[in-house]
Amino acid sequence: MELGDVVVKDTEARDVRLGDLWRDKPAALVFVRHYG
Amino acid sequence: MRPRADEFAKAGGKLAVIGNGWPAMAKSWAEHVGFPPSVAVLTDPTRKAYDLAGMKRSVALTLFNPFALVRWGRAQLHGFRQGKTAGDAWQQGGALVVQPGGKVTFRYVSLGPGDHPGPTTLLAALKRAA
Repeated sequence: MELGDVVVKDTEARDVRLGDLWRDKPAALVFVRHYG
Repeated sequence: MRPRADEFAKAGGKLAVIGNGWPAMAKSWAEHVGFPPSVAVLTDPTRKAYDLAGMKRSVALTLFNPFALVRWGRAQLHGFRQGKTAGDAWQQGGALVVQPGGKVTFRYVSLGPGDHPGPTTLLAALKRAA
């Protein structure tokens, strides 16, 4: 599996495919340790 | 990152912030931080994206890390306060910049609390990828 195929959730619990974030333009992904 | 979040869209890119708790945790945190609508606040409860991005998960990096103590002290001096942990406490963070097509042009793997690239570094990487 590639990173772009991973499906995560948005704040409303909707599915978001990561690859869609950089489909048309570059994306900066910040991975936080945890919320808080 | 939040004070300069709008600059990522102006630079022709997208900023996404990914955590690892439940969506309700992400929503509460996003509202607290006050990200602009251009920022995608997401969550990866399975931590699959963290693994594929090469991020580390370690108790030792979290608890027994003298550099983290120094960064914690510096953050306190600048007025940053950590709230209650929501998510995997041992998961480390980091950052990527990905071009259309999926090529990763920037990767930063955090080695402990407080170890992350600043917005200037990340914006520069995004502009190079645009």
